[in-house]
Amino acid sequence: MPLTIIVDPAAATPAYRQIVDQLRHYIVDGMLAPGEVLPGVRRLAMDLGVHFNTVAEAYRTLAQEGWLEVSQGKAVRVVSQAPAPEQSEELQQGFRQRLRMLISEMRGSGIPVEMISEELRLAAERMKS
Amino acid sequence: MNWMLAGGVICNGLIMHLLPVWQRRNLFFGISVQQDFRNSAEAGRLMNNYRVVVWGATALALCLIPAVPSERFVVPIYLAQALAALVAFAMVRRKVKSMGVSQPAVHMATLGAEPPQLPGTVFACMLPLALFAAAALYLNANWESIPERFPVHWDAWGQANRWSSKSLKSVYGILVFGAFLQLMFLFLNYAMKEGTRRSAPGSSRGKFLEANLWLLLIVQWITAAMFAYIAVKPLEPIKPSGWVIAGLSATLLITVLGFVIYMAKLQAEPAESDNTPDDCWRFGGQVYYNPDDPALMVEKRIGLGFTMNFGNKMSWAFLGFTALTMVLPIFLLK
Repeated sequence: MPLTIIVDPAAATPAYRQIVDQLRHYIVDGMLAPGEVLPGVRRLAMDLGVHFNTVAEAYRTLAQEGWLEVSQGKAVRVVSQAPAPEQSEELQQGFRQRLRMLISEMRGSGIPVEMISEELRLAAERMKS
Repeated sequence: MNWMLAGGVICNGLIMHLLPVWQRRNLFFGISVQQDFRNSAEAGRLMNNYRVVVWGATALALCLIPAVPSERFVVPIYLAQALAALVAFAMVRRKVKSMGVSQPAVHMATLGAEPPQLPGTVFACMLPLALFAAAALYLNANWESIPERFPVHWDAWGQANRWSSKSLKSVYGILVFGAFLQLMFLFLNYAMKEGTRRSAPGSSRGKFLEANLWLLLIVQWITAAMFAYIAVKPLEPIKPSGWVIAGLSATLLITVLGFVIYMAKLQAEPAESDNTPDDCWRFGGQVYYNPDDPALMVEKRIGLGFTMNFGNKMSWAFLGFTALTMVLPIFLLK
């Protein structure tokens, strides 16, 4: 099953952020293996029908986060080692807050607690494996 | 009644009649809609409105044909017929837009979608130019045998109807014109291969691109054969021997028809979004202008094939080059 990138121009999230989120998800979940080559800025922008700068900004962000290796005239690669995340208490608190908000949003949309709990358990298992 | 001209008018009407059919299932008059909208009563009513204008204009054009003094005057009739249909098309399109049924599509790309071996390698594209070079060498070697006066134009039945005197311009001009035309095809081939979106292997859009490239390549080869044959024709005894040109023209026509049927079939298959916003399709959905889209060419929303992204500066360079190939024969073959 080929991996796809979807950009919704009508969404509140900027297009470059949508690309960043999806690529990061593929890398973290192991769907994009270390060393794997991604399409160049020009090619991905053309395939998505978005401006070059949108894709360039997305790649730059992922490179700064340590997920991609982007250098002039070379292929864009997924880095072979996962970045060492900063583990400050402030950062952890921020993620905790966002997770709680997401869970509240899911519950507010009528998703049963059991299903949310099951999703979280599966996500945790995938991470361990 | 000139039946040939009447046939042209009817053919024109038929193409205009089919125009709204030749588009993806998620489009109606070039506007993104829900797939089932095309089958709704409202869509049927809009389609009928358009077709009444198409066949009304066709009937009017047929009535005017007996009054036309010469074949030359038929061009304005054809143009007026097409214009009436296009205006009707644009009006229906505007109505569809205002009905609020449009569906802004999300943009989607497949990672690592490398199409398998697209047709039209550099070697295959260079073949016509090699053919012209061979024809030029042959003409040069047999310069003395070229008659002082030879035919340069033939009618549909192969009868020569225009002649030229022997000169460098009249003998080699056709090859230079052919070479320009082939360069234009080369650029088109490059733009379609490198300047279009890539789709998932085996997808409808992927196969559609491949079919277009094959068609372009076959057209390249057949037109090259035609031009090379016409160039060396002065070395043949002057007599009506238009069967070669007629045969090549027939092959070209049959090939194009075959591809049209195949591409129309592909277009009816479900496909992913074309990643082009509705608002960027202008002039009744015929012209794509999107400076934010790096694509040089995109799949047409109406009709079969690909069209330029006029928001891309390269497409203007291509248009300039095309205009040059149109003007060049006036000077070369005068």
